[in-house]
Amino acid sequence: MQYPAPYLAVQPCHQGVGWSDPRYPGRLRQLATGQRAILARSTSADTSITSIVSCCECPWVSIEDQQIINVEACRGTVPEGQSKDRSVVHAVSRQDLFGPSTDSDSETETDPDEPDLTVDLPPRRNMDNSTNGCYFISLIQALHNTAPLRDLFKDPGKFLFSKTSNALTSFNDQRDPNLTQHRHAVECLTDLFFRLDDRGPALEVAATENVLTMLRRLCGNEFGHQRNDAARVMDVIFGVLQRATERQEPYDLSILDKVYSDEQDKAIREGRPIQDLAVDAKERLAASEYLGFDSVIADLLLVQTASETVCTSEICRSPISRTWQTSLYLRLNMPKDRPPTEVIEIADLLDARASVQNDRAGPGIRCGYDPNHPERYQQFSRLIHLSPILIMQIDRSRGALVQRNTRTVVNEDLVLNQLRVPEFIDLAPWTNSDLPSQRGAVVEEDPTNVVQSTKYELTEVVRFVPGRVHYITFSKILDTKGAKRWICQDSLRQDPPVWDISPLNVQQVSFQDCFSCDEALGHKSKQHPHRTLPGILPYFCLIIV
Amino acid sequence: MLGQGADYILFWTRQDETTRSKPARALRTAEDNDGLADVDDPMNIDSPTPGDQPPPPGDQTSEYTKKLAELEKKLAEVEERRLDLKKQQAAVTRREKTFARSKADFGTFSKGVVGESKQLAKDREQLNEKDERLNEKNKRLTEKNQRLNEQDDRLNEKDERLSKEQEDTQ
Repeated sequence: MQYPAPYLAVQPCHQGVGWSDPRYPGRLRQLATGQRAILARSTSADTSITSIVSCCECPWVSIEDQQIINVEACRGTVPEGQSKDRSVVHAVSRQDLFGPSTDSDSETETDPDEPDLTVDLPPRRNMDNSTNGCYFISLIQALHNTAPLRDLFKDPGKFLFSKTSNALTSFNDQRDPNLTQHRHAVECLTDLFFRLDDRGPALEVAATENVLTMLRRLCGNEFGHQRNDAARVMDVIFGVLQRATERQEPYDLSILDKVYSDEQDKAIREGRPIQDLAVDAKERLAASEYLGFDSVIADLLLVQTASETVCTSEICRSPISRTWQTSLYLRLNMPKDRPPTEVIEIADLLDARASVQNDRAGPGIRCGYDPNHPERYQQFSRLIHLSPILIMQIDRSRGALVQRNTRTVVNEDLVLNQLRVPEFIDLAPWTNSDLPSQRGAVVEEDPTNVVQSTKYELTEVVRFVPGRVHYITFSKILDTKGAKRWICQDSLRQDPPVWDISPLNVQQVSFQDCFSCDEALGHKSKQHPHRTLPGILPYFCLIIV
Repeated sequence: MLGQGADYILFWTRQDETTRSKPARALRTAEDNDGLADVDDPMNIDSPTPGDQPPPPGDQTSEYTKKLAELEKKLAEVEERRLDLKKQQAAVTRREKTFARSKADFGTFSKGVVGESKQLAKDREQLNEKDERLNEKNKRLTEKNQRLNEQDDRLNEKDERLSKEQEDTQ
């Protein structure tokens, strides 16, 4: 089985182990002392790999041979019957191979003729992480690399309160201290975004702390002291931005929701169909604007989902209710019951969200035709409205995360299956899917109705690395020549690795967490017998751990 | 303490393509719809079985009942407020109509007054002219009367003279 040419390969060099770009053979970048490399895809016919230590999941290399092995036999091929996903090899650092380095060993073998991949990149500054703010820094870097969001901060006019005192209309009293805090938070964020567009050393800690201090005040120290979660920071930042870019004062329309659900219940009991979905969707989208989603940030991010609940009785299966969710990002959950080596696809998560079987009925949830039907329900969901930017928060926790100091316990709380994310995705199957109330309905096509594309391209990934208890960001950015490149921004590193994937036509990006090379190599397998590293780091993804 | 979050956060950017709308039921196959009721299922919402009874109100927790009561109270307040606003709106509309009518009436009235005064002035002028003409006529008649009186006097004198001459002749 021949697999595509690799982008990166690991090679031994006379000073230790380095990684290289096969387009420039012989040009090695040495791993720093103490660093370990886990490399996606192993080898090709024109790349020599002679010193690797296999992952315990690579069956064609025995784990007992884990010191230095010659893999000439599997160069460029995978033995019959093996998935190409098992083509991962792991290189240990020179420290593991050759012991502690000496000063003379620490020089990196480089060639002055080797092109610098960072030359054409737009200016980006890193941020100082000495106060352990990686959960915030990684998110800011992702937001900053998202062009429409960056443009939002570059145009102060979008923040209406800068021009008129009528903006931030949620605050009726202009002397409200919250209003001042919102203004300061936006000003700090704007300043931060401007300063990131520059070359030079990492931004000082004060730049991060200023914004964090403002945000902590707004959310009552919920993060920063108790739960350092990038998703929570994102919630708070979007809340601030929504208020700062809102066009009208939000209203409390809970009473309308009550009227809506009452009308719906009445329709079902009288045997009338629930209102036509398309009509309903327009009305609910308009109503959402009164609920606070009439803002510039909502124009960019708003996601609307319709869900319908049906009776699970075999002879009934009538719709029970239709509900609407409007939010600024899509939340997906990793399945918690899969074998640890199973690869999860994004499509699996979307499918799981589109159809949920629930054995416990909520208050008021019962069959409208016969109350004696089982109090179970099945919920079907459909994406109704998508925006230019789609954010997916993929929850990997097994339950509520609590503050613990040991890395192991944190890992135990997470679903660590590999998640495979396509670089391009078409959400049409989840925007065109049927809901129960539409079954059998005649849907007429309106030739004049132009709908937005459902095709999306992955541009940023904020990723938590349990092994390091650390957040990093992968971003696809345009260089000055218009080519797309993936960069890895890590607040603990000065020079982020850069990958130019365009010539390789990479179709997928995969992420794999491992805890450390020791665990990857099975040294702690007695403690975690089930926690073997799936031998999967396909395609191009290099992770320095 | 470092980050304790567990999530991947993925950012996607929409590719700039637009398509015409398609029927919503295009992509799902029958297998995809496994677990759903058949389209022809008579229990489908679109075609409920005749004779189905509406369900009883059902058991509701006290919390739900409380919330429901609050919502109904809110609904009543909103309804009351709506009626009040409707009344106020009606009153404002009435006042606006009255004002508009008054304004129109005043316009007509003022227009009439102005026209009438102009007509009066014109009439007065005509009367003055007529009066002047009558005065002149009167003057002329007076003069004529005077001339006629004088002529009458002369005729009387002549008549007396003739009478005297006749007496003398007899």
